[in-house]
Amino acid sequence: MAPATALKDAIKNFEATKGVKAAETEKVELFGQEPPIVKLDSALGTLKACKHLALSTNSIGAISNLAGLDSIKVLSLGRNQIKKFENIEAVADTLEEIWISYNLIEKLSGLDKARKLKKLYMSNNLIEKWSEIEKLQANPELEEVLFQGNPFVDEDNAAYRIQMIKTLPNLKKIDGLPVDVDEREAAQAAEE
Amino acid sequence: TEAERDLAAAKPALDAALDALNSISPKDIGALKALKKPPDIVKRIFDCVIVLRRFPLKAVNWVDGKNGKIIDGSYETSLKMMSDLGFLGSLMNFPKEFMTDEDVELLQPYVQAPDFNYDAAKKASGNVAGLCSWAQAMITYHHVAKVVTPKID
Repeated sequence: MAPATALKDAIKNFEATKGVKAAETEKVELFGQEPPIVKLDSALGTLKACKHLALSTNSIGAISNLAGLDSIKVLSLGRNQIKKFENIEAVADTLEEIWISYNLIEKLSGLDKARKLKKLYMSNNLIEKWSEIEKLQANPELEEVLFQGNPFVDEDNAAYRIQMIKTLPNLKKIDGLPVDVDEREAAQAAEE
Repeated sequence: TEAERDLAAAKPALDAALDALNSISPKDIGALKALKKPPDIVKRIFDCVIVLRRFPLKAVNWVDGKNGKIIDGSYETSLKMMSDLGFLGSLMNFPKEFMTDEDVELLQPYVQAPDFNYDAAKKASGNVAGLCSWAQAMITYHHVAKVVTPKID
């Protein structure tokens, strides 16, 4: 088995480097561990004050054990090995942003529970079908998405953006760029 | 105004980044492309460019570098970028307003390395070290703009 950093050791590294107690810290930085973190476990539940959990640039295989992250707003999991959204229910009351670019996600099932989700960043995943985007209609607060680098994203950026606005009319930003009045009108015209 | 003053704080970094890009010639890029084994700092600098452009990256794999463990570079993507004649121009005109906080977090494991700076990169790789200054300037801009933009709105 490839070497890995256990979550509790990553937390210890963070405390030693920053001179803080992780349990009392709002932004907990566990990104880029060498060797990588491969598994989320119950040590997460100790991070009671954490609003932004930075776990990007590791080799985490699945989302699990989020229970106990009582304050979490931003869950950052970019550049891992995650294949699907699961076990999000545990943090659905507080979670507002999921950053999960550079993973292996094909489907958007499992996000409907995240009722407060405002931002979803997931460039460079494996989403192939527009029908997956329709599932985000279950997230009433969603206002910003990032999907660059997924197979379904059209080379013709203008058409892709209009289609995105048609599917999710409440969006304010797509791929970092604000939705403008002309785009909104074009999306409405395409409806009629 | 206060917002203008804050934004001015990012200007030296942005000017330095443009100067650094201007110091890189197509010839420098050509010479780099020809290297069979580019220095590892070059690969890491190019990974930062990949992250900022949201191009494909390999999964994380730590390997031995010259000064300790480093993330293995996604150099295939880098070579592809270098083959584009518009490469340097695309960085000059980079849409830095569209960066996200996630982009910046994904850069952290690279920019936190002790040897990730212009001088070390220059020693190893010559003029293309300017890309290191460029990546750092983009981060600086993002941090400053985040404070300033709400004040302008």
